[in-house]
Amino acid sequence: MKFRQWSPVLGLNQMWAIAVNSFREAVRSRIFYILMAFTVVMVLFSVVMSLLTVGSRSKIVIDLGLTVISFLSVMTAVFVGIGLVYQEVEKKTIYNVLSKPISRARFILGRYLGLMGVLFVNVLAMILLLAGLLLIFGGFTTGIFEAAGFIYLELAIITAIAVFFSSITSPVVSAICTIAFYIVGHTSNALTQLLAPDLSSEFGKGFVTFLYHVLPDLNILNVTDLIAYKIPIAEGFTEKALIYTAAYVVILLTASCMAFRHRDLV
Amino acid sequence: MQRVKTILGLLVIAGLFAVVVPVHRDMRALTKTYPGDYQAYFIPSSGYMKVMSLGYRNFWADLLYLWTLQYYDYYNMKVRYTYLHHTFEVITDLDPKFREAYIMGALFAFINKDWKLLYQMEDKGIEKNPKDYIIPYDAGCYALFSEKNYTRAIHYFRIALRRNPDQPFLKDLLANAYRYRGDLKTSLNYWQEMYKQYKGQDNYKANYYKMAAARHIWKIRNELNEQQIKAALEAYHKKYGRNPQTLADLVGAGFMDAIPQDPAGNPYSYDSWTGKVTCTSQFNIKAAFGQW
Repeated sequence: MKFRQWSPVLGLNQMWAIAVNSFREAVRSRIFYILMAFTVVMVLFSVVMSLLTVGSRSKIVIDLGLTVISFLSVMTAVFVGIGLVYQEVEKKTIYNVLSKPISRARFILGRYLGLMGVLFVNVLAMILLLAGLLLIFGGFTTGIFEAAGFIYLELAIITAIAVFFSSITSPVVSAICTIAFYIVGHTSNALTQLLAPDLSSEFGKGFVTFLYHVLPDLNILNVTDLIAYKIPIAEGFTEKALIYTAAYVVILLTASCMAFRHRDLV
Repeated sequence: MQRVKTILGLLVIAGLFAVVVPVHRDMRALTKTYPGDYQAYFIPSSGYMKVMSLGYRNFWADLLYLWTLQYYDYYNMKVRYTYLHHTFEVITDLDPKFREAYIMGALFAFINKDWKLLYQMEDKGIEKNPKDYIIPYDAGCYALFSEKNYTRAIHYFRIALRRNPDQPFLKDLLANAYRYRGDLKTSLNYWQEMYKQYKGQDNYKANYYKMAAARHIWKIRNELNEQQIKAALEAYHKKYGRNPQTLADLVGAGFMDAIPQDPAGNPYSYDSWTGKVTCTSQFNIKAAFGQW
């Protein structure tokens, strides 16, 4: 029995079962459909917006489309992710799961993978819609699929942050903290660009630079602007972005597992 | 009873809407009595916008650009141009590659006859888009056709041509700018270059530019010849106090090596009484290009 519990195949099967369950649960949530419907409307609206411009029609459809997909997918990750663990605890359904030979870490990882599956479907559907619009109205570029890949990397980090906060606190606090991280992730470059030059002490400058490197830099994963101008992504950047994202996700999920392991569920 | 309550509820809602709609209409009418120029807008600095855009800089630049197009389309604003520079500065700081923003910003500055701002915006576009030839072309057109500053036009068309050497209309405009500035020889060089570029080709575009080049070459050669003869005539008049009897006298007196013929190969007509030199030939498109 002990052997069965530690088998990696069994562990993967357990995680897969939780992930599939989380996927179904997330797909059934109302917030998911509301945000998805809103994304569809906004992507379609980008075509209407492009009618108001003088020149750059396809650029505006790409900019607006990718921004809406990115932002609303993040909102989906936040609002679905924050309840992933907490609701299980609140509804006490977690006791049924954890009474089986499933570790808390596998539970967290399964939940995370389930949500990532939902977000994959979400981003894929939206990017196909945008691609269809660009094919109809002109300006199609395969770069939008590259941009979608980078949006998904950002979502991987955001979801990990949401899962981390969901495993230690209530949904409202989780939402606030995750959105705060999202804002920090997109504004952290201001630390070195705007704050550091105004600091007189070397220690202050060093600390600000350290903070900049430690905080998740979500902005660096945003390649929408490059795609709109068909500028190729630098060689080696994609690989580094994958490593960067994977490292952050592992850090956050490890922290989530550790926090959840020590959590008193009674 | 339940049905009555529902009907009452619906009546209350309908009654409230009956109040809301006319009140809102009155409020709208009242807002129209405000002075039109109070709606001075505020757009934060580029640095602030870059941070607050949360990385979606192009998106915010697009929104601001679309709004600007609508705003500057409204002519009754007293404050219309007050923030023109700042607005387009922010848009192009957020998205430095936004070519249309530079072009539209320059257009609004042109409507206001603010040449300094116009060239400031175009210069920024040229600097931020080192491969783009449309922005210097746009700036050159303003300088050539509107401001009639030919030196400035030459500056911009040269940049545009350097970025896109195969574009014949840039060569055409540059040659014209040189001609208007009085630099006929440089202008002639550009036309000759264009003629050579399309020589031997037979299609609509090639024939069009060949014909334009041939016509300009003809015209400029004639102007250069006339200039040369006039200069010799002035020198002759200065020395002898009168006009020569014939143009051949200029050669005899050592003011010219030979009397040039017009581009059609005919001699120039000369009136010794007025000292006027005229070309009697005309550029013949049909002779040069057949029935094209």
